[in-house]
Amino acid sequence: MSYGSLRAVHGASLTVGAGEAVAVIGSNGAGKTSLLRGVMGLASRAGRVAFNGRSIAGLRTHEIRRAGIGYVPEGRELFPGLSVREEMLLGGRLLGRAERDRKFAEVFALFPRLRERQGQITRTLSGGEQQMVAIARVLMGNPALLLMDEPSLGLAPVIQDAVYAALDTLRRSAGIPMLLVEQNAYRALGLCSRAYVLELGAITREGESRALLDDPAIQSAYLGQA
Amino acid sequence: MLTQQLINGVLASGIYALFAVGFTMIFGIMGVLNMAHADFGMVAAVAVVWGVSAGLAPIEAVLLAVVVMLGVALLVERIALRPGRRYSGDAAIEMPLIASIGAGMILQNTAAVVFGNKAILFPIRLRGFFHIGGYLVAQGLAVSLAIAAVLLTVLEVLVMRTGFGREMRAVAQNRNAAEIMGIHSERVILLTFAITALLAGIAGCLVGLSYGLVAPYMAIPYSIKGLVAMIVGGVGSLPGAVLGALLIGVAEALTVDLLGSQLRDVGVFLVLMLVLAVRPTGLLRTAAGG
Repeated sequence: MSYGSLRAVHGASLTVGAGEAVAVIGSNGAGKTSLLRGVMGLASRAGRVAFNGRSIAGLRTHEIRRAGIGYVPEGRELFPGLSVREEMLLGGRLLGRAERDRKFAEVFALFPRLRERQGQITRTLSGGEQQMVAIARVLMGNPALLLMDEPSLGLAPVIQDAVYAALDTLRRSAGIPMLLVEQNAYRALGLCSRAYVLELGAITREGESRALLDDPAIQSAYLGQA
Repeated sequence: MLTQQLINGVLASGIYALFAVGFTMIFGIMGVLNMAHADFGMVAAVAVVWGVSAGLAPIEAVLLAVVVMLGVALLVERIALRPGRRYSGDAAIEMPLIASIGAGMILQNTAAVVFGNKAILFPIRLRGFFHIGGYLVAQGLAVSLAIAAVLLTVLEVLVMRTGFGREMRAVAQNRNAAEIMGIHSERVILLTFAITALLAGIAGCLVGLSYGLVAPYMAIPYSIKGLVAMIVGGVGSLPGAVLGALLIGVAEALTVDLLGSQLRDVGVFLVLMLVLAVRPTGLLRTAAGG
């Protein structure tokens, strides 16, 4: 059964299946961010992008979001003058009141920190809290697929742990399919069952995370081991 | 005499505030100056004159003017401002700036060709005075100030308390992020633009109501004062624009009192220079969008 599927072609062809968490690992400048921006219509793209069997290549960014793809961009891209609650209200603005309240409770359960910080302007939050807002506001909109760009970037290891623990909960309990782009290959492979290796804009390897973790070439190139 | 001039200054500031808020909202959400903005007020005012002379009742003429003015404003947006959004960097700012100056000139000259380059009597006038505690309060300006206060309060509630206002602030602060949140940013920009045009149109009619006269080139001083008020208050801040309008209204009136009416604009620019020297970002500049 194929619930959600995603295909980006430009030297790179990849799919995400139903309930699946897939990682794209690669070094700086490999094209990971461009890949996601291309899917979201934020960068020029050549090729095919399909979601749930429907082409989204001609859609504009807001239409792609409304088609069900939630995107947590590199650098988080929060609104500097909005509060945590306002960011989340924006994410859930198409929901009815009851559904929205339920969603708030659900997301706060995942990120209890944000419940305490609801009224705070996001610009004044710590990096980890901002990352949580970037994920939380997308979850408010009930995405059918999550694209995430380097959720661990610039965060202290203990904060990375918290963010990844939340993503793991999300993957296991909500079953939202994810495409996770990460420079931190060890974390990405730990979360996702399958992964692609992106090098200079082209996919050079793909396989089960477990196999990639055990692969000496991957170990030396991406996991910091000899 | 001084108190009387202060009253006059506060009264005049209502119309200035309506123009200033429009300038600041456009700049906040589009990142450009719409130099034709105040001319939308002129278009609405002369459309009322035309409507009444064609036999319409005043209220019908006002409704017609709103429709005409919105049509003109959306045309100006389409031709002069929107192409600039395809560019980034300086071109995205300069191109709409120059194009909207041109659009304003076309509107002024077209009106001058149709109505003649002269002041025209506005058909709805309120030229009397209230006598309050020995001071004179111009009725037209008092009504204008009250209307401006109501409109700007509604606007502040719209921007700060409603879902649409949240979308406006989101687009103003980070347009790409708004798009990835599913917000149709182009539509939000157009609606915001239409709201500002409506404010300008109302302000133009209030000028006619208060002073009894309108003219093809009437918008030029209001452009200048609207821009100065926006900068004094802090670009992008709605309360700032209102505060700026109040300050320059009072400064203008005091200058008239102290230096004579030929030098009225001197006081306005003194306020501008003083504020820029002390607070270069304007009095109430907030982080982003405001």
